[in-house]
Amino acid sequence: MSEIIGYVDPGTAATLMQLALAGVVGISALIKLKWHQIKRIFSRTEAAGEASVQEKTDATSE
Amino acid sequence: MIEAGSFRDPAARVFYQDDRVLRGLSEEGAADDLAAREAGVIDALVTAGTLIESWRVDDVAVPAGVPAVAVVESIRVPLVSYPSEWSFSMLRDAALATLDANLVALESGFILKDASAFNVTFNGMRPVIIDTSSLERFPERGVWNAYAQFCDHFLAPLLLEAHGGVPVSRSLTGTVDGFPIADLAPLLKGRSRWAKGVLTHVKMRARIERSAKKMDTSARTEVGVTSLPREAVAASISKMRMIVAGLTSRASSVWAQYEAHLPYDEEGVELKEAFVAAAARVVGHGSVALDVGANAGRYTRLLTEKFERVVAIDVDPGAIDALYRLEGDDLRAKITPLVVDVANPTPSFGWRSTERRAFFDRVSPDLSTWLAVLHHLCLGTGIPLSEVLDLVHGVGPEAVVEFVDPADRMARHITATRRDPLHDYSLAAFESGIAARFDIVSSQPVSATRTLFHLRRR
Repeated sequence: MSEIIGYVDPGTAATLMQLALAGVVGISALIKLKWHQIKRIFSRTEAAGEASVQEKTDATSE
Repeated sequence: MIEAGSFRDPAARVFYQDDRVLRGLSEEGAADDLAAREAGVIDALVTAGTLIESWRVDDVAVPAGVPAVAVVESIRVPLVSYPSEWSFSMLRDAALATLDANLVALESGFILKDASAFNVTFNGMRPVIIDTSSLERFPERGVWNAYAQFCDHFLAPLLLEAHGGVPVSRSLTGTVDGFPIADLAPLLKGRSRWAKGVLTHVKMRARIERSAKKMDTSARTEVGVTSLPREAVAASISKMRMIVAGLTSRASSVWAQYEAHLPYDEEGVELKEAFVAAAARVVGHGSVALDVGANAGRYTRLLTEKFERVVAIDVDPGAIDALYRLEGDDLRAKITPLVVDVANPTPSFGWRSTERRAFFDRVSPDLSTWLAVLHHLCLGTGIPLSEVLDLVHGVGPEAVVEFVDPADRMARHITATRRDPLHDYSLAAFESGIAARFDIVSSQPVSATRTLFHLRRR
C-alpha cells in the first residue's frame, strides 16, 4: 500500500524545522543526562562522601 | 444537512440529522477510526476530557456526496465557538488540549492528522476536540504533519498577544488558517526576539523558509521522505507544550483588575439582580441564555441558576479572560464566555463565505439580557435605536433590556466628546419602539435614569 499523504501538507521548511528541533531536543536531553557527571567533576572534593553513599545505595538496590 | 465547513478532510464529512451530529467516513477514515477505537486511544482521550465522546452507528441514511463506509455519531456541543471569539487563556488552553491529545495518542501509535483551532471548541469553559476523525495511525517513524498548522493556528497568535499585546481575537478575525507565523518575524524585535519559542519557531523558521525556497525538487523529495522516531516527535510536542504553557498575555496585568472589583459604581445593583432573577424564573424552562455585554459576569452567574447554558459575550477580551478564570464547577460547566462585539459580530467566512457561520446563526437563546448595553450602541457606536430593537427582537423570544436615559451620568460620559448629531434616543422613542415589537412582561425603574424591561417577542 502506498503511503497516504495527509490533506495537511507539512511543507519542506516545516519538516526541516522538525528535524532541526529534534536535534535541539536531542542535544538538550544529552546535556541534562551528562549534567550530573559534569557537576560531579566540579564538586568532586565536597561531594565525595555523598557520592560514595549514593553508590552504596545503588549497589544494594540492584 | 451537510456541514459546510467539513469538506477539507477527504476521509470524513460531517452531516446533521434532526439533533444528531454524524460523520460519514471513507475507507481510510473508517480504518483509522476502527484502529483508534480498538487501540483504546479514543476512550483514553474521552476520559482525559480532550476529545468529544463518539460512537459507531448503523441506523442512519447517509446523504449523497458523503462517504458512507462507516458512520460515527458524537455528542452535540450547544454552541460551537470560533478561535476569534476566544480570549488569550482560552486559545492557550485549546492549544494545550491539542498537544495533550497528541501526546496521549502517540503513546498508542496514533497522532492527530491536523491541528486546526477550529477542531476545538468550548463545552462550558472546557476546551474539547470535536473532530473525532482527526486520529490517524503513526508508525514507528514519521513527522508531525500538523506542526506548521499548529504554529499558524495557535503559537503565532499567542506569541503576538504575549509579546506584542495584540489580542488573539483580533489577529484571528476572519481567518480560517490562523495567523501566518512568517508574518511575526519582522514584528517581534528587541527583547521579545529572545523569548521562549520566538528564536526557534519564528526566527529560525523564517531562516529555514528562506533556504527551503532555494531547494530543488530532488532535495525537497529527500526532505519529504525523512522521518523521526516516534519518541523524538513526542519530545518535540512536549517541548512545544512547555513553550505554550509558559505564555501569558502582555495585557494580563491590566486585566487583573476585573477580578478585583465589579464595574464602576453601578446604580441599583440589587434591584437589577432581583429583576433579572425574576425574569429568568419566568422563562427558566429554557436551555440557553445569552448575556450581551457580560463584563465581569455579575448577571451571567445569576442566569446559571435557571439555564443549562449561558453564553456571555463582551467586546473586551480582558473581561472575557477574567470571566474564563471564574471558579466553581457548576459555573464552569454552564458558562461559555466569548469575545464578541455585538455591533460587529462574527460574520460567516471561509470558503464561499459559508465555511464558518455567523455568530447569531450559531446561538438561539431562550432569553437574552442587554444590561447597560443599549446606550453604548446608540450613543457610543451611533446605531439607531430601532435597529438595536430589531436585533434584540431577532435574537430570541424573550429579552431583558435596560434603558439608560440620555441624562444618565454614564450616558453623558459617552456623549461628552461627540460632535456629530445623534439619532433619536429617548425613553419615549424606546417605548414606542418596543410597543411595535414586544409585549412588556414587566418593567421596573432601578434608578432615576435607568429602567428595566422584560420583553416578550410578539
